[in-house]
Amino acid sequence: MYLIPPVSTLIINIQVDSLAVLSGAPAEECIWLVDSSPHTEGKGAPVLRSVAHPGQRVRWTLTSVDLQAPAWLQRIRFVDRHHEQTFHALGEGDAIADEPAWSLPARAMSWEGFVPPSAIAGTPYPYEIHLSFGNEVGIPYVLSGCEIEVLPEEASVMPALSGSTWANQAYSMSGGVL
Amino acid sequence: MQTSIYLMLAVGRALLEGRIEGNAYQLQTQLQRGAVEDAAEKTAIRVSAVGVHRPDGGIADDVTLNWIIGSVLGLALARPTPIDMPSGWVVSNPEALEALPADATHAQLLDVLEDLEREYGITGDTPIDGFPKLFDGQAMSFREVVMGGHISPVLVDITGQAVDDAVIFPAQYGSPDMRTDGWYWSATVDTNKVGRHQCDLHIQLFRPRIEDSTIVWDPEVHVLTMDLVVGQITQVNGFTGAGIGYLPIAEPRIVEADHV
Repeated sequence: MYLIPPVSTLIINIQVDSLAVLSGAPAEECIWLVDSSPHTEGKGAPVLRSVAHPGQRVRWTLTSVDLQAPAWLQRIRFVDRHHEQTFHALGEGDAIADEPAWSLPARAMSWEGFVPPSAIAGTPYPYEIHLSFGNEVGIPYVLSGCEIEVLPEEASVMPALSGSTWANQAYSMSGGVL
Repeated sequence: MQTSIYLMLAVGRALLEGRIEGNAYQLQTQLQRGAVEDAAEKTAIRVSAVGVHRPDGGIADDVTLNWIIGSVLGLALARPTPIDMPSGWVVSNPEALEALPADATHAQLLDVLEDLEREYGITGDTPIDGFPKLFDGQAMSFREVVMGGHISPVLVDITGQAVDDAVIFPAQYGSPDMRTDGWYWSATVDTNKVGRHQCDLHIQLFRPRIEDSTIVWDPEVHVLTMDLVVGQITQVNGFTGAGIGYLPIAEPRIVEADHV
């Protein structure tokens, strides 16, 4: 059984200025990412290299800087290889083949999950952030260039807890998935 | 989640009819798909607030409503300044307009209009062909063109059953927008109270009348009843379509060494 280390959830917060995006501003002027890990590089920029522990719960949250111009976190999509930071509206030619099977209002969507045991320590896992703006979920803007890197097991800071407590906590955190 | 409710009022019509029902139109920024069953009925004053709940029942996202009151008039762009007068009027006598200072008062404008009226042999209340038409189909008179510029309506209170039942918690805040008298109304919604509720918007209109060659704006408070539909959706995890699982990080893959 793979135990989930009792570390807190890694929150990756995406802050976006919807009006600036729709006015064509470059990513540096309209999107800022921060997370709750002390090891992360690139905080406050559109290129975030988050550092996560094996088994850590990761949650993406979106904050629209202009309260009256909402934005939706339409998708977090892990990709095969790292791309330089780009930010543009998804064109027709960019149609993504692996659309998820479910289609739900973006507003009721959360993006979170556990770093899987198969994740290789030290390897960056790049992902894209798909944002959409306005009333309906429209054509997304895609930000490339962010990634998650998994710390090696021994580098993880594990509080000294007894095995049983650890297991209990792992069970409660997993929500019964394990 | 902030939802903006734009209430557009046909002020001229509302003043003519003495009521605000049927003369109000709304737009809102957050018409959620599937949230309002008859969203196509655009003229009904109905607002939807959809709460997002976690599978365990906790609130994942709360809802705030913001009211923004605007006005539409047959003469929507006419303001009580000569610069914004209808183009037909401007063309008809540019010299008279240019003689007016940019900050001309209503009284000064009326003086000019009265001179023009004498010159053209018409009275202030005579409809002029080619002028914008009022809602009753009659062309506007000079006086009505002047009064076409109007003071924006102001939301002064929110009451009603939804407030009494603590479905919404309205409050008034300061705003830099002087068009709204420097105030705006906002309300947080208890999204646990799923269903249809009603609240009353108290809207102040200003009825112009001419007194000693000056326009006096008499305030009138009208009540507009608004439906508030509180819906609820359960949050799901975008990665799985259901609950939480492992991140869909690519499995370790063997890179083909075709470049060797």
